[in-house]
Amino acid sequence: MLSLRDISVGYGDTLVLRDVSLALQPGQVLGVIGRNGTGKSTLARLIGGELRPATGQITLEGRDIAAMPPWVRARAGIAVMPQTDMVFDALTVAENLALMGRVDLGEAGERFPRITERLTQLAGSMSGGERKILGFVRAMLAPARLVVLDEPSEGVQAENIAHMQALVAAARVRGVAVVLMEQNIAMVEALADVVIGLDSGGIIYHATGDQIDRADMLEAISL
Amino acid sequence: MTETALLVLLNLTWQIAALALLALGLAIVFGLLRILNMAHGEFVMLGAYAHVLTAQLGLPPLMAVPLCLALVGLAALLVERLVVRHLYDRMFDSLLATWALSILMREAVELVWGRAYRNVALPVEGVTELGLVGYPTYRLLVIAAIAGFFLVLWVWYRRSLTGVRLRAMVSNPALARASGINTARLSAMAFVTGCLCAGMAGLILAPVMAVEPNMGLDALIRSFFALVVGGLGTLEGLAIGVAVVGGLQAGLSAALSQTAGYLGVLILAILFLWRRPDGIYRRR
Ligand SMILES: Nc1ncnc2c1ncn2[C@@H]1O[C@H](COP(=O)(O)OP(=O)(O)O)[C@@H](O)[C@H]1O
Ligand SMILES: [Mg+2]
Repeated sequence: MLSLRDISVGYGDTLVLRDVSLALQPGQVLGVIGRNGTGKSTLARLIGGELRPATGQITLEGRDIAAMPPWVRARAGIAVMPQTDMVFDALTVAENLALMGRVDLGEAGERFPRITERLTQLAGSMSGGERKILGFVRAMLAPARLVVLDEPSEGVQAENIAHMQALVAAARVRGVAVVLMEQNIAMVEALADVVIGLDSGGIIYHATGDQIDRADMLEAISL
Repeated sequence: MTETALLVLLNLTWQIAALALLALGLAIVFGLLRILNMAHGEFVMLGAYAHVLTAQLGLPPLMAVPLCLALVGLAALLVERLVVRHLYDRMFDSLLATWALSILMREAVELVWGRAYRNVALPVEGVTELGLVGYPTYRLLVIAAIAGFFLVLWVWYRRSLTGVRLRAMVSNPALARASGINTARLSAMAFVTGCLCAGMAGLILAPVMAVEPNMGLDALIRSFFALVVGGLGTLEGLAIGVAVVGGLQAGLSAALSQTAGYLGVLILAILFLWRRPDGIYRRR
């Protein structure tokens, strides 16, 4: 469904990722690991359309989307939760959710009662962890076939990380593809069908299914 | 004595309402796009000249309204496409560009209609008796219309989905795009709407203003002062700003002189720019 071929991307003249290729099927979870500054967020911005590739091809269901602006990608079924500024601070929680076209939170509402309790509160007045949860819920509620989550567990309590995992697993069952950027190896291990590790501008670790191993992943992000 | 007090109060209300109308377009463009539209006053001027054009074409006076919307809307659309669109997030460049645009618009209008002052007749003549005193009917109508329009606008901005999208764009443009919002189109819409408000202000206030190619500067400065005092870029701030600035100017003018009124506003604006650049109403 999503495919990157020989993608190079960066800021201005500085390339952050060079010749990266990967492919993702519906219902698959791709874990993207790597230390700070290795290009995880850059990859998320590339898929979301905020960044355009310098070279290479990016296709969604066979369609070249390299020139497609972010708002068109969102309507084409790509939802992105950015690592920072993942909510609209000046909007209420309810308005944040309404922009995703959803009033009914479903399972997310049961798992995160804090969100339902604070519908009339401004998102900017919530704690860092709560804002992460709201940003996560926003992305998961979007009518998307591909969800990109950039470090959703950062600063979130363990029990809520477990709820996040349950919601990602449920989305996978519905056939939604997920790209999960994380430094939380346990979360990646629990969810990912494919894992890539980024460093020095490229993929330094690649594993699928049973090959995915915690010790290998820890080594990949501590190089 | 009570007659005088009532008259002062009515004049004050009129001044505040007129200033609110005048400043609204500037507040919309700055609040939503972070662009200080230096050509704001020229869009006011263009709106006022819709009266002149209507008379020239031999059309009934009421046709000035659609003519104003078409004229100003078209100009704003063109300016957005050709200039402003490329300067979002570049506050200083957009300031320079719209300043150049203001000169261009003044020159163009002078070329077409000349420098002469134009008189625009009141569309509604007469005085309405309000018990103790009488007051020009047109002013009363305009006050009511502006109050109504501001209320509708505020509710719409707070409650409608487009209002939510606009606030989302202001709050976090990247996330707005990632949420499927076409921010380029929304920005263009906001700019054109701001200019249309300026044009309508010119159209409505033309009978009480000196209509000439350079009238925009005064409109820009007064609008800018109101925004500075109230807090740049919110409807609430605008309401407070026009109340304080309009009130001060009307009060000083009535008590001392017109010049004192202008001077008072100028000093207040400078004090605010210096001591409290966020204005009275801070954005949350
Ligand atoms: N907006 C930007 N402009 C220029 N360089 C950037 C920008 N954002 C990130 N970078 C650089 O790109 C590299 C990768 O950053 P990033 O993708 O945020 O990594 P990660 O998400 O893995 O921590 C870093 O060297 C970072 O300094
Ligand atoms: Mg990152």
